[in-house]
Amino acid sequence: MRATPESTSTAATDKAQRYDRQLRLWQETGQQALETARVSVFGSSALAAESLKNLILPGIGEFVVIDDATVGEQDVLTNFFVAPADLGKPRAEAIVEQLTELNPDVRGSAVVKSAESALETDILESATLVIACGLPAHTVQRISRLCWERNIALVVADTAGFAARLRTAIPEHAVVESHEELAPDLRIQAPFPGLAEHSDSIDLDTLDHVDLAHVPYVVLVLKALRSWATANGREVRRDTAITYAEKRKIKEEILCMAPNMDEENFREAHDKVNGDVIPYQIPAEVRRILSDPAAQNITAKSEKFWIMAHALRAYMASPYADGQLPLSGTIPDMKADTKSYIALQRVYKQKADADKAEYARHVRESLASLDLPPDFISQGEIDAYCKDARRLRLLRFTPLHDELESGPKDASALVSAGALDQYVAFRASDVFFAKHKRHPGVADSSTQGDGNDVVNNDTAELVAIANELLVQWSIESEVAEDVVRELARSGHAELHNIASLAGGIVSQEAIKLVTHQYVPANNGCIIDGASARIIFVAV
Amino acid sequence: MRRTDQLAQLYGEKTAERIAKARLLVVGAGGIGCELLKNLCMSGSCSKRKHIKRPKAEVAVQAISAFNPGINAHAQQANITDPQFDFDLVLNALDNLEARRHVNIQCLAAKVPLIESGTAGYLGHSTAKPVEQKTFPVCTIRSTPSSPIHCIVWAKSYLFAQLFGEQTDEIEMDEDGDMQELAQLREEARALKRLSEAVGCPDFAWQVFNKVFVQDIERLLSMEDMWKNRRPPTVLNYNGLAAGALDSPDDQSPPSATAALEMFRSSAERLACRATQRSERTLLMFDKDDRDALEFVAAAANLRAYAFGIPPTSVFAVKAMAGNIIPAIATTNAIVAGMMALQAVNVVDHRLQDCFTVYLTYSSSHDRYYMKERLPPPNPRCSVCRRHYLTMRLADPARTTLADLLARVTDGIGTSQDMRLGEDVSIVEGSRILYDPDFDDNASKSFEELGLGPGSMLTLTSEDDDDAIPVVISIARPTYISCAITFEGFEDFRGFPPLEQAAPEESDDEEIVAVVEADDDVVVIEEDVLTKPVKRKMEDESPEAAKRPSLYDVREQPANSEIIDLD
Repeated sequence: MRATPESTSTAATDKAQRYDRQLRLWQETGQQALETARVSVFGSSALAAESLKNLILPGIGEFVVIDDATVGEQDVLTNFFVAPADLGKPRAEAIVEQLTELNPDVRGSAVVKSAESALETDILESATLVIACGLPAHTVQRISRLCWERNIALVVADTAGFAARLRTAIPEHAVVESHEELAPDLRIQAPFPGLAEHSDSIDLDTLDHVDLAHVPYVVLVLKALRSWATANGREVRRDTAITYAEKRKIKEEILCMAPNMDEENFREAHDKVNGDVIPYQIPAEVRRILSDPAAQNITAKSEKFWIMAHALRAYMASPYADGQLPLSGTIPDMKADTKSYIALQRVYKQKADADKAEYARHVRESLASLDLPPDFISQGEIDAYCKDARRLRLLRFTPLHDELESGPKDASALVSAGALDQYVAFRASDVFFAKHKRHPGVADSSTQGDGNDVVNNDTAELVAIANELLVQWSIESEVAEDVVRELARSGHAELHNIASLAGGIVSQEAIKLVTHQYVPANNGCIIDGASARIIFVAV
Repeated sequence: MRRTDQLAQLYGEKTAERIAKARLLVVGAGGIGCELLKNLCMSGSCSKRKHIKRPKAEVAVQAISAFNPGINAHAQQANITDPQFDFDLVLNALDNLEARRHVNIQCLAAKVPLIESGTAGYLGHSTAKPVEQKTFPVCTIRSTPSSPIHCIVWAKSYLFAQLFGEQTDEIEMDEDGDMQELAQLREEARALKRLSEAVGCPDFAWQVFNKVFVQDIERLLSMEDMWKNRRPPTVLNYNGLAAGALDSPDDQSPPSATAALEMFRSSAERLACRATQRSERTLLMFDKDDRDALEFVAAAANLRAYAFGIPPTSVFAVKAMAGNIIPAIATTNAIVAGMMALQAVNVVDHRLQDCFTVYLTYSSSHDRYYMKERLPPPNPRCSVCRRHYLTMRLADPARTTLADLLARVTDGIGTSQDMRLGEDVSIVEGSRILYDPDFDDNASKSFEELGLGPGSMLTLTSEDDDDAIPVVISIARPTYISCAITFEGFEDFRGFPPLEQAAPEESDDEEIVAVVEADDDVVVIEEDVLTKPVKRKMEDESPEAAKRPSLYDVREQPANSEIIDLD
């Protein structure tokens, strides 16, 4: 039996309904960032169209496609967003027309100009993000410089047969909601006063059997730790290292407290000692952010992230903080009844609220010192910064134009990732194109012999270029000829499926950059479809 | 340039030809499914591109009902084991475990390779790892809820199912607890079921409210022992709540008790209207994307939460919890579908050694976003693979009885000693017991009388020999051969060669078919030179896992929220 699906959904819930599954990932804030973003896309190939599709479906605000190519037969075969009727039309217009149909909320437009001539205009002026697909290296360099100067996120990608490469660049990208999975911040080793009082207020000896089985494990560990410390004359501070042998004693203490071995909460407490009785540490990433010059010296032009980092420095320097970041206030599920769980939750929440209020005071002071209005940073932004203070992330990328000028910054990373051959083959292809104004493997009036001859000749030349590059980059190895031959054989032709796969990754990174949630890959990616490999590597 | 010319250049001619000839089945038309269809079509494996340019729902319905009616309750006429379909490869793009299990079994039975997939937010993979659905003790759900999820499970699996559904659907509850209490709960459920007769009455919502938030809670309160160490619930007051100030809550914030009551009343009315609009009562199933059902469950769950002093939950959150929602985004779908299409090419190109399990992972603290691993060899202890899968055709389903089938299988099917089940055999169809040594009421009934037709799958298990391998029989369309019962696809599943040996270079897809005549039956032994099954269930599954709710599973709906709406 099946319910006939009748729609009763109202217009108000329509959007929430449509974006339901993604809202659960990046919430209202991420969706808001996406809907106010403007993406400029250079290129209108299958790769460009597929990348855009994945941004249009989740509801990016606006996009513009810049390309002067016209639709050819090849496009009809590989690009899902052009139709046979589009033959001869500007390809940018063709894909914009089809792509905008995917989502009525998204505004799209086409600029029928070459990338070079479009760059003469203010095309990047209002862009949040730039995607460049299948452009020659010198144009990529130019775009990269312009984006770098303006602090605009850039994703560059191209495909050749089964292979594809990606590169992301932006001088600085800060992430508050990195969604990093960290152990909960329970402060068991050095409980704050409210937590210690709460723990002391529970007298296990007066509890009956049923209530005893409902005491949250956090309280049990706190009590066991305290009684172990007292018995052994130890003073446990937040930075005290407790050895494994000592933790065993604490565990024994818990077992002694248990009325019997079957109580789940005591078992949970026993199992959590190793992970939860740990010295308090500020994550290395957060320490780096706090000691960054940008956090030390703020100006009215500083990004909000840095003004808040500055305030966090001041907070940390105050006696109130006692060397600890604001408490997030969330506690994990544990064996307990609702009443005692909520009571414990309240203790953490109260401390978190107090920390937040104290931190907000420092934010206001920082803003005042810059003559900025107190509401320049909203309460919501302060809440998020406090909640994720341990998860703050800062990424600094290397400029792509420098890499194209002088080679990868860290070639050894390419070697150890197993991506060197693919990478250098693509780079050799860039050089080849600059020299011959055609892609390797593509026959034209300047080439001699049949298709096989062209592939053979071009392979030989690409191998020579690639090996020369490797010498320049001081890498003592020669390029694998089969990888280069495969690239020449492909003639840089697009395979739809590889374009779609690479487009998935382009848009994945684009969304992370736009929403400032989750941590984008820093900074390159090689896709080797022939052997089902996707290699993320820092070039 | 024709598409095949270009593809031939990149894939190689032979591979391009194999792709063009391949018969592929994509099961599921959600985010991954649509993306995958596009990739496969653009890779040349489907010549009629116009199909995918039609409206999504139409394509999806067509794809599903034309190719695999097994997933669609309405069009269930056959299953993919039926040789008429003859797929080279099945690709799963499903969002629930039951359907995945079902397709897995069907593929094992049909000896067709399966590529599995799934995503969760930024995570994705191309082989599914089934996640155990969490269950709760029945008493927690029905008598002593302590968290919002308990109230939601109660509203969805008990209240909604009893009032609007076909039968009690308590799969999310373990029957474990005080026998007397359980008996009382069963009586309570029956009373509620009776109340569902009142579905057309104008005061239906009030009656239900009175039953579950007044009478049932009064009954619970009378069991004083239960509340010695717990906070007792409070009886809700309909008029008191209705008199409260009615705010208009959005989906993101928890509704007040008054708002929950209003939502309860209005959604119950809409559901009642839908249930009674035809002369025959329409039974409804909970579907998270059905607004009325969602509102009813959210409202009832929140009213119960108020009664038990549990924090209320927003409609948005109820939807996630009641629907087991997993976040899904277009980008991850694109990456996973791209990987699946690559794997599909490897399979149709007979390069199983190039197939991998691939994972998209997310961790902000290191840079490994992607991993692949070799396919593990078949697990010899896997209870899903360790069965004989047969296809059965009947000459006359109206005359052939279950006893006829038993007579055929008692001594073993064909010549294999492995397929000997012995005297005492049980036959089940999904969770429905058709026959066992203590229950032979159905023995003399015909297949037609029992409602068993093409698409039905029977599991035959020996009751006196635990070592005997169960036999799974899928019923195909009737034959015109004059014998009563014909078995096909007779093969010992345990003797699989390792994957490395799997791909003989020149096969040309020819199958060697030997026909052995024995008695009045024809046993057709198909010996496929290609070793087709690729995907095996990696984990030991309990026999319950083989239950087959999926043929009637309506959860896999073609209409989904994040679908590419093309055309």
